Amino acid sequence: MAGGLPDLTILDTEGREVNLRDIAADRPLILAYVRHFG
Amino acid sequence: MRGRSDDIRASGADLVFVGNGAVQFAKHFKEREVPGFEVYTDPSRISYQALGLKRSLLGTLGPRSLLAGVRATSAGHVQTSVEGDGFQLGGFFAVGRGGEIRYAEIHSSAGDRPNVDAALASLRGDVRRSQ
Repeated sequence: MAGGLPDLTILDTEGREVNLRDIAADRPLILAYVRHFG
Repeated sequence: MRGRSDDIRASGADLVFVGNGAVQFAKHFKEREVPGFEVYTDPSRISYQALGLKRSLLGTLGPRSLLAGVRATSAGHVQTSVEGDGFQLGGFFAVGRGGEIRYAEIHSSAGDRPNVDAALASLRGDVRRSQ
């Protein structure tokens, strides 16, 4: 997949809004999208 | 993948989880399953859609998924509940500094396992600059 992370808002574990792009702004990441939290 | 978390940390990359349940489920997941790692949630699943991740009945309840479930249970990983969308499938990404996606896996089955080595290899340039 080419391109960057989408400009979208998700939530942290305190319910605060975080832009997905900001999470990777200053560091390399391994980003695991899980099926669910079960 | 949690078993590879030391390798990921040693590479200089951070491991971050995103799920799709309510905030309290994300908090429980972090405390119970991945303490010390960042966890986020996207209850709308809009970012799942934007990243091309699949939602599938067959992918979650098909033979490959059931076999993977048996293997996981045999290894002591017991799924006790579904906290989020039960038909959503996952994915795995390596993201460079600034948000460029260097490596992507779009999973087709609940039994798919990420290729951590390939993901880390795609980040080698970023990791060297950050160390």
